[in-house]
Amino acid sequence: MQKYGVRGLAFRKFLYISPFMLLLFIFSYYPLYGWVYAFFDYTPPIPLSKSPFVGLQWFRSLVENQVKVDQVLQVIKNTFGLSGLSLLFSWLPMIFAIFLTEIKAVRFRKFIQTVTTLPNFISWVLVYSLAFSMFSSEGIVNGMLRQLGLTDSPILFLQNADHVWLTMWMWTTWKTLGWAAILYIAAIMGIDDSLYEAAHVDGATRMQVIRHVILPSMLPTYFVLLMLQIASFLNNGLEQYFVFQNAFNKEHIQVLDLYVYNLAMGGGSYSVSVAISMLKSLISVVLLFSVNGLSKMLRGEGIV
Amino acid sequence: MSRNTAEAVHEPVHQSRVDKKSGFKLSATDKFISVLIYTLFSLFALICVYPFYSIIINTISANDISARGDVVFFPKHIHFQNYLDVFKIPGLGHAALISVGRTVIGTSLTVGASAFLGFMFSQEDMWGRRFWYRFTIITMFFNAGIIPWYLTMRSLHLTNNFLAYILPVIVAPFFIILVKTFVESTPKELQQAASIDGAGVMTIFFRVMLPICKPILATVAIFAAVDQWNSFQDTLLLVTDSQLYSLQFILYNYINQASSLSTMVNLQNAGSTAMASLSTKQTTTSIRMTVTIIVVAPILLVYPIFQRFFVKGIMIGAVKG
Amino acid sequence: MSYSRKVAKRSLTVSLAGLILASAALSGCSSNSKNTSSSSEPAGSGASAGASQTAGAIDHSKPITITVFDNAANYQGEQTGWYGKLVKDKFNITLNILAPQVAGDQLYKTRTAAGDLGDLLIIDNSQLEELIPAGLVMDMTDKLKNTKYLSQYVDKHFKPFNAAFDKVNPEGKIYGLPTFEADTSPTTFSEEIPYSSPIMPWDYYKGVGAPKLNNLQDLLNVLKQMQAKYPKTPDGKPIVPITLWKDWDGGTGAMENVRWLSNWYGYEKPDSTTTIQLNAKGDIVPIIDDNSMYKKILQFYFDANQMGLVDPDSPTQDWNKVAEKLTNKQVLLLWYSWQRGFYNSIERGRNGDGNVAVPIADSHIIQNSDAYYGNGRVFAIGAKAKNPDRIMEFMDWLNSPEGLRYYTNGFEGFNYEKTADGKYQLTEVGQTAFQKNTPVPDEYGGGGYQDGQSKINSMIMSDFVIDPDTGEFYNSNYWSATIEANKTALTTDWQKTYNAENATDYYLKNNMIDVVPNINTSLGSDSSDIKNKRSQISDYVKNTSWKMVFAKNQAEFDQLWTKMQKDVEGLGWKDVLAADTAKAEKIVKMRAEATAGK
Repeated sequence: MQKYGVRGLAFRKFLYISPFMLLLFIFSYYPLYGWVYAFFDYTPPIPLSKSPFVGLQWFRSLVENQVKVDQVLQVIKNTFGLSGLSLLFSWLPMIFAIFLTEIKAVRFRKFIQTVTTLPNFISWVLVYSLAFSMFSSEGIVNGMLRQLGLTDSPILFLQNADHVWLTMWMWTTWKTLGWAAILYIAAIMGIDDSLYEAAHVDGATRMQVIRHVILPSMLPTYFVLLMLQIASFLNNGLEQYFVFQNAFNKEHIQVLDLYVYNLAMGGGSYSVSVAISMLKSLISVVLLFSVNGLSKMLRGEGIV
Repeated sequence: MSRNTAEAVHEPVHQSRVDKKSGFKLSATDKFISVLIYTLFSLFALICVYPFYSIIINTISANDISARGDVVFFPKHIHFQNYLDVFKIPGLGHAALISVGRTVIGTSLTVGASAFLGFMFSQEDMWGRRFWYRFTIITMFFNAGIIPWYLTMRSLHLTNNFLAYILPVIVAPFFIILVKTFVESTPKELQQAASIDGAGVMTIFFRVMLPICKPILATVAIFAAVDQWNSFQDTLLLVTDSQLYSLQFILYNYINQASSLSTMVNLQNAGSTAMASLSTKQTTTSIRMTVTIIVVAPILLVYPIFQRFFVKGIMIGAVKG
Repeated sequence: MSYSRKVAKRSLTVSLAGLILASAALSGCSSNSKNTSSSSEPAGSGASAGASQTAGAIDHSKPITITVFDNAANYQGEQTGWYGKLVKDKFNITLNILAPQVAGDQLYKTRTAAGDLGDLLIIDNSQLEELIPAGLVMDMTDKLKNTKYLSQYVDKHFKPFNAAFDKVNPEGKIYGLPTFEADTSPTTFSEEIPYSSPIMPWDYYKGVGAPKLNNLQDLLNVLKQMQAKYPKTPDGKPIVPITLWKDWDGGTGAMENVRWLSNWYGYEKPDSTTTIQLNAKGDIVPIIDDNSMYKKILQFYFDANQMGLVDPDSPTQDWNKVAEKLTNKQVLLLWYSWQRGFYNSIERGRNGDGNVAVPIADSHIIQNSDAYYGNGRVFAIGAKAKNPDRIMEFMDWLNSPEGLRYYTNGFEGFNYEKTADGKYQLTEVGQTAFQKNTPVPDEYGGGGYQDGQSKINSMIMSDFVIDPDTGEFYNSNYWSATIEANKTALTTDWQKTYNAENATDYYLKNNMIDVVPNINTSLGSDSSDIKNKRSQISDYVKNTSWKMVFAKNQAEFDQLWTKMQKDVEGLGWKDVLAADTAKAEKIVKMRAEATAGK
């Protein structure tokens, strides 16, 4: 502080982080030159210099006629439905973490904390084969229903298109809840002890402590994660929907990532996939800053 | 308030906080809530454990019975051929070393960098702080495409290079955000006090912040380690030197090969005189399941160790005091 | 991806059978020979004449690693085990295999973008067509002249194949050697049963009186009777007369399960097209045509479902699940020839139990001939390969009797042995060495037999080539000893009933099959515009087809069909159809030439 002026110190702090910014530039920014492929008709062995320039053709081709527009609208609807549902319940991991840390029996708590992360490590492919063995026409569930005399013909759970958003959301939640809660458990551990002491002195009940001490302390983490989730609104991922899709639920399950994949699988061009991922990147960044602006307006502080 | 709770308040500082909270008043509602919590958590734990349990018993049951879906609650005709076969894969040991190496080295660097950058981005007086923070964050949403990524890695000589596993993940925006958020939730007076005592930025980081950040760093470590441990996409495209193959890659390769082999084995029966013993003949699912268990087991062994950091995070009050 | 899978599946029948069981040659024990440059015979002791070409000039003292970019491989990494040792000892070469089946399509995209795919390439025809103008593959014309074995096939096989790439190869140079070429003739079909034909469990079929099948309606009725009589397997699993699966629809452009039944009535879908079907006469029919075979088969499945014959899990299950059902004999109607193998065994055959061909009288199968010109992929050498001469020498050896025997059948004395009349027969070990992954003696390199097999998973000339020493195919399934050993009550009973040697024989005798010349060329790669339209249309057609099969009633079936006809127009049907028609016309033309020139 004495040796450097205020501005000197400020710049020295930047110097500390500059090597990292360089890494970031090399690995994240430099490859972005690849976005130019979106404006060409590029097929790998032929170099870019010999590929025809097509301008915005790939972007336009997404909406070039009514059938495609309908498809894209349906895909966007699904994306909104599924992302919306998980946004709506984005507080679940937080609540999960709060109540988990309320458990007094240490062994039991650790057991729960460990086993609830298990589903996170089972690949979607395997999840589906487990789901199939339970819910297919010969599966355990139908077997039980039959024995209880509730059904005579098997219920085809997996090809049922009703409530498919809800069932997909339930699978996701089952798989990720315990894992996502870890973030909030850490946040709870970071709460200043003196706050508890103060609450205790005031004679607060457990629920009051949760409401007035724990919850407010978790909100910054929650808002940050919420914002990131909104920014990645279009990225539902694809593995889950890929394994669960079939002709009957596809119309409602096909999110943007799956749509793009289904198209590319038949040998779609590289340039188109770049065009779409570029579009997604831009939309995400726009969403990020919009939410940030909104946060500034509502909460008085931005997040990034 | 019972005697019990009164005592709990006076427990020593290192006692885990959650236990300590038991010191608050227990109303009837609270008790009801407790019961509810226990029941719900037990139920949820059950639906999390059962599939995993089911995978385990299927991997050790006769594969033909398992394939018919007849292994539901208990293993049948127990055998360990599935595991033995995996452990016989040539190069498995070396690949495991590579995986441990990339996990330990990669995670350490990622955690260190995330801690430092998260801390630095909370320094409001840093030159261009907001710009650099945003510069970092938005890369989370970038996807340049596979070809420029490959060409970049190639021109940096990061093909067939162990560093390819490490360098690209050192700066991890998501973890940086987590740490920064955590740091900002700690009382400002801590840093101010240290600063007035004449501590420089680095001293504050190492002496004051690092100890406080233990819980969040443990979280980052878990996430980063699992990412490292599970990743094999980079190996697929960047590595052709078998000395650098990771465990996940070898196992992925194994699943792939086995799924085509299991078809081929069946084809052979069309014309041949003998069948391999069906009960140990692997199916793609049995292999997938076995591999899942082998991959998850180390994670489950390590995870509880990290959990210690959750409950024993240093009390900020104690540092202040 | 789907294309390679298809090729893979087909080559499964052709090659795997041979690859695994089998015979082969001799002198396998050559393993101890570390050859050096001075030796005129690079490989040690072969009983078969010079293990490889005129190799005197080639120096083997420097160990090299060849990077093999291999679309056919399902394993990525170094070749180890007995085959690895063999290649190392003979040529001082280590094969390091890169497998897009493991690493994904991106492997091809990224490596070609960087300008170096690998040293030895096993790639699709369409990729060869892209790589020639990009300068990424080496001209082999002159190098082939010095080879001992490959040179024999230049005029009849390699030249015509390469010449067909006239747009990118106007001078007719040789860049690629097609894979799995049979040395029979362009119009011969050597296998005992067509690739797709009706197949049913013989005992069940006889159990309901083995009624003659005149048409598809009869087939449905007999399936219904069989299901009624045999509702469950002995261990209580439900019988599902027809079971379908979704995960092979990939790049077919339509429902794969529908596609292959169309072959029974003379219509095939040429590779790399998605919108048409083609018959032996050269008629090209769009699949959305109201009279298309595609629609008729959809109707067949729809009717079957209405009768309760279709597995209700069909839309949600994948191939693995189907394989289990086949193994359990839960399925009553099979079509791929190789599907029989999941249940059939010699032992069961002795009891007259097993899946066999059951001809339908009004069917007229279309069947591609033996892969005389290859089956869709080529061996090529990368333009940047450092040791092209040694790669060439290795490829020539792959094609030598010794190389072919090792590849298809393993070691003489271990996997197979000579009989008194100078032919080969499988040893007891050889019959199961693949399935059981039998340990190989240490002198050959140790490890399991299956683990140590060639991971290249491709050959240039296939095992439908005559071994000069025995006068029989390399493929052990066609050795007289194997055929004799495989005679069971099931086969003799079938032969008596149908008065024919085997299914192919029956169809040929009764004029119920058209064998069309196998055409192997690149039909030109799609423009990006066509690619995109094609994938959208394919996605739509697949989805609607599934819905039609499971439609509630005929009205819904018809309505889905009409809507599809209309909607695909909006997705660019006309353009894709035009592209596919051009491809089909090329096939028709080449077939005519092949037939004329035979």
